[in-house]
Amino acid sequence: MCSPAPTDAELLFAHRAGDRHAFAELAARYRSRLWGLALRTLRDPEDAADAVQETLVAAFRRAGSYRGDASVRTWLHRILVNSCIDRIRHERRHTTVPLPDRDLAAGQPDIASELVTRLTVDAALAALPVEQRLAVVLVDVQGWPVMEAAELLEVPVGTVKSRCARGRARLAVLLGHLREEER
Amino acid sequence: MTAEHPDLAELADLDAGLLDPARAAEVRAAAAADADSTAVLDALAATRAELAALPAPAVPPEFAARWDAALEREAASAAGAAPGPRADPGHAPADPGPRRGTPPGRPGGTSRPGRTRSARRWPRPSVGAAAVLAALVVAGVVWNRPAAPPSVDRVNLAAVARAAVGATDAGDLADPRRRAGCLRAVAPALVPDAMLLGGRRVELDGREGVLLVLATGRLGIFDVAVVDPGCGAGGGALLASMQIGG
Repeated sequence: MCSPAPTDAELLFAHRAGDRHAFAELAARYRSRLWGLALRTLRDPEDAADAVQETLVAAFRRAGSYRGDASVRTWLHRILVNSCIDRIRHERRHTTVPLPDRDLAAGQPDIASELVTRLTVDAALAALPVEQRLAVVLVDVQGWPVMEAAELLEVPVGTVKSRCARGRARLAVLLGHLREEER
Repeated sequence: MTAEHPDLAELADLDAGLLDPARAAEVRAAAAADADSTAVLDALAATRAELAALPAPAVPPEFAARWDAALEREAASAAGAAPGPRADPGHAPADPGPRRGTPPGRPGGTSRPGRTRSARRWPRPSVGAAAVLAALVVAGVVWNRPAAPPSVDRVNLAAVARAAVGATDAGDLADPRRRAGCLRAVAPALVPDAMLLGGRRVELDGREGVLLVLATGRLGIFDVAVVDPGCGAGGGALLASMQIGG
C-alpha cells in the first residue's frame, strides 16, 4: 500500500529539519503555477523566470520564517507576487500594451475593425493595471478562491472583487465582447 | 447610472459579487428588463469563460534547469554553512544567484554567484559568505597568492568542492562537449553530460588538475571529479572522484 503524499507543510517542515529532497518536491509541485502567474504578470519570459527563481531561492532560505498562518501555497505565491510587483515598480518595466483608447471607444462598426481591435487574452491582460491583472489572473485564470487571493495579495476581499470587476469590464471591451460606446 | 439602466461599472460589481444584497437585487432586476444590460452581463460571463480557458504556459526547459541549478547552489551553500535552512534574515529579498544570460549548464556564468546584478542589490546573508570563506581558509584556498591553484588532498577535497560551486575556472573543461568526452573516457560511473555546478583549477597531491562539481539530479548531492587539465574525448587522467552531500 502506498503511503499518502506528504502535505506542502510537511515538506516545508522536513526541509527545515534538513531533509535535502523535501524542498525539491515542494518546488516541483508549484513551479508551473508560479511560472504561469509570473509570466502573465510580467509578460517578459526572462523577467518571469528571474522572479520564479528568486521566489524559490527566497522560500528555500526563509523556510524558517514560515509560521503556518497561511497555506504554504499562499506563502509561496505571495513571495512571487511581491517579487513581480517589485520588478514592475522599481525596474520600471513597460509591461503594458499601449492601447488606442479613443479608437476602442469609437467602436468601429465594421467586422474588419473589430478583428483588428480584438486582442488576444494575454495581450489584453497585459493592458490592465498590475493590481487588476494580478487579481484577474489569480481568480479567473488560476481559479483561486477570492478569499485566498485576498490573503495572498494582503488586501481585503472586497478589494479583490473590485479589482476583478474593473479588470473584467476592461477585458470585455479589449476582447471584443463589448463595445465601450454601448454603455 | 439609473436603476433602469445600470452602467458597466455597476453591472461588473454585480457580476463580481460586490453589491450588498438589496442593491444587487435592484440591479439584477433592472438588468433583466434591459437588453443592453443583459448583453453586458453576457459579455462579462464570456470574458470570464475565456480567461478560465487559458492554458497554463509550459515551463521552458532552460528556465527549469536554471531554477534547479539555483536550488542546487542553495543546498550546497547550506551544507557548507549550517545544518538546515537559514531563518529569515529580514525583509530583504534573497539573492537568487545567477539569472538571465547564464547558460543553464554553467550556473556560474561569467562570474561567481554573489557577483550578479541582483547580488549587488541584495547581498547574501553574511553567514553564508563567512562559511564559504571559512571553508576556503580551512582548505588552504585563501592565501597570499590567490592566482595559484589551491592545493588539495583527499581529506579536504569535499570542502574545496563545496566552495567551488559557482566557480568558473574549469579551463577547457568548461566546454560541455569536451567535458562529456573526458568524463566518458576516464569516469564512466559519472553522467558525462551532467550539469556543471562549479569548476576550479587545483593541485591534487602535487599534480595539476581541474576539480569539477556536477549535479546528480538529487538536491544537495553532487558528484566531484578531479581530472587532468588536458582531459578530453581522447582520454586523460582521473585524479580523484567522490560524491558529497546527502
